[in-house]
Amino acid sequence: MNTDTLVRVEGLSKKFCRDLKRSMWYGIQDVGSEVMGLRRKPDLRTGEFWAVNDVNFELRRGECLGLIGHNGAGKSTLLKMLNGLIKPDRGRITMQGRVGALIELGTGFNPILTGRENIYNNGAVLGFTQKEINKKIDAIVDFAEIGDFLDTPVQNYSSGMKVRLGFAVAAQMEPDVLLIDEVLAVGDMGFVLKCYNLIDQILYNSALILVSHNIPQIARTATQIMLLDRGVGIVHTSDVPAGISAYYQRYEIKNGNFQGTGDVDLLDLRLVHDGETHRNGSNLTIEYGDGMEIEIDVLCREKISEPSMYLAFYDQSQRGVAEIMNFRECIQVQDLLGKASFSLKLPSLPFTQGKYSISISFSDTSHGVLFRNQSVISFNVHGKSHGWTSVQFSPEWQMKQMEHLDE
Amino acid sequence: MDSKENLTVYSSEGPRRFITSHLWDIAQSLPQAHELGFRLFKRNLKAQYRQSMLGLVWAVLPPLATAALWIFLQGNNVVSMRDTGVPYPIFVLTGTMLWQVFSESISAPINQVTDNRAMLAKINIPREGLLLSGAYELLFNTFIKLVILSAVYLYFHQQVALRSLAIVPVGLFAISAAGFSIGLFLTPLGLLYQDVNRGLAILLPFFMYLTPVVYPVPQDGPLSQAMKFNPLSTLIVQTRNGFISQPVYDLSLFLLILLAFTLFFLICLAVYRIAMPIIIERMGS
Repeated sequence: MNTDTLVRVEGLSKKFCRDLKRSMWYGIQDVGSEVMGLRRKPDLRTGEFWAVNDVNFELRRGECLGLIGHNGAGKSTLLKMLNGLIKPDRGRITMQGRVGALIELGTGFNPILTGRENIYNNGAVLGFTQKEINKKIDAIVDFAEIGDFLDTPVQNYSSGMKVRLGFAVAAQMEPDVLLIDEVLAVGDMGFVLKCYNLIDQILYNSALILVSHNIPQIARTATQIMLLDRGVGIVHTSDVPAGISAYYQRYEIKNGNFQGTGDVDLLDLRLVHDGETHRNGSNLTIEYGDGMEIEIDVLCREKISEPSMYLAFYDQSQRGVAEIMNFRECIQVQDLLGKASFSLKLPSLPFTQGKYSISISFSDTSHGVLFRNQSVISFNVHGKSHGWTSVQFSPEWQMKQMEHLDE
Repeated sequence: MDSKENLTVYSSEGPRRFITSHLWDIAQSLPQAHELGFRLFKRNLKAQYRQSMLGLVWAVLPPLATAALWIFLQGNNVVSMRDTGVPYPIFVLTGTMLWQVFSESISAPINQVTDNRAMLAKINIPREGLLLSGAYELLFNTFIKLVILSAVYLYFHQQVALRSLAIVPVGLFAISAAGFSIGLFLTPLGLLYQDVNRGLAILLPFFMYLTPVVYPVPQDGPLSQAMKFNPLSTLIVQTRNGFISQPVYDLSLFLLILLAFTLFFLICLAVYRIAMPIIIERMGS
């Protein structure tokens, strides 16, 4: 495989202005000085800030940079500069070969016109000639799988179908450098997997820059991670799990969403790991497979005759990952009143790398739910590998036998 | 990065560039711009007529309406006009059609760019393609106007002299170039400030009545002086004279105005290319 450098970004910076009126006025000034051939000063003017600040990286063929960061961290601005939509205020981008972008799908579609007509419209926007589309139209139609809808006006399409058609056209690009910005969010599972497979194929022969909040997707594709925070690439590493772990650590899960009747309060919930006690906000990171102890203090103002307590683990995107069996099934407790402390011991957590939060609910058989508290505390799991799903078993693998086949 | 071939560089620094070097870039991207522009033109045309019952009639309805109003006013002696040399309906219809060409050329660039904002903000397209799409639409609409105009001329048995007709294509080009370059000049500004579009909507009809469109050039008085400084007055009057077989005078002034607008157009084209990245980062999508 060819391993030449396809993208080189050096000291790249871009400034924006938060105030609309002022930004428009600066725009007029900038156009003026550019037309006169004057050099624009790279310093910040009143009200401006660096949306992208001194970003550097290099990508070779077959490599993929995963750009992650919070909303407004500068990911899309960086991508827009790479795509040549806006000009850097400082620094330099050098790219080799054809640059393609999957930033918006189906641009140029006219809702009145049929899918077939719009393939040509979208194709022209992406830089294909009519001849090229004529040659590729069968492949596009095959890939989109929209069947009889091809000759229906696009306004009658579902949003997923529009994305299918748009992606099918864009998939015909044969870029050396491909920029992708969260375009695969819509579309059914089968189509999304098809898109990933295609991206894998493209990646084999090109350099990819991928912006996404979908961390499993990043983990699957990226060979480098850059974590952007307020325009600065605060982490840049080819150790993908480490980069992702840094991203999770910057997410503070707020103790949110407390519901209760007031009869019972959650006083405290602590995690004990390696002999150390952690409360909410203490940023506990454990290794894959580590165990922990959970300690819970409650205050019962009323007598609770048949208490039951239930805990569950949630991942970053608030998907339930695992739950802890109701303590009523394990120990006998009756007529609870006043302060009470409980603890439970988990010998090993087989969670994949990521950030997890714990939710707790407390109820009584006769009174129903007394309190429910989402994301009481969170912790990070650090691991050597990053899986697609949240639970990763590490079993004892054995190879039973091997036989050489005689040809 | 060994080979220099196929290299894309975006940098804040760079050699000082002059307008000619921008124009050279534009000339080189013309084939791609045409590919996109022609496709968008076809798309808009198809969509427009598929969604309309009157279809092509819309291209000539505004000048027809203005002309009808003035034919009515003149026929009922509400306004009195100096002899125009040809039947008044011929005179006024030719005038309003030419004016329509001008006003459509002014709004063509800004309309095209505004309609395709989302595309501009998300995809790196040859941005001159949008202008070409507007130009093709203009050409098409002008063609329909000429067809209607010929029908009217036939109806009134109006003769056209081939010799004076020769100025018509040049005149149409000059009128569109004037409108298009003014529109192009306003486009970057109009993307940032809505005032431009609103102001145009008010100023254009106003200017129409300051230009001898529905009336012949007055022989004396302050208005006749003012018209000497209105380049559009010369363009429209001379082009109409070509249509109605009247002598074309001031040909050198006519050509001078044409040349001036052509130069202005080239400058605006370069400004458009320079300004768009700066505008795009400010207009969102």
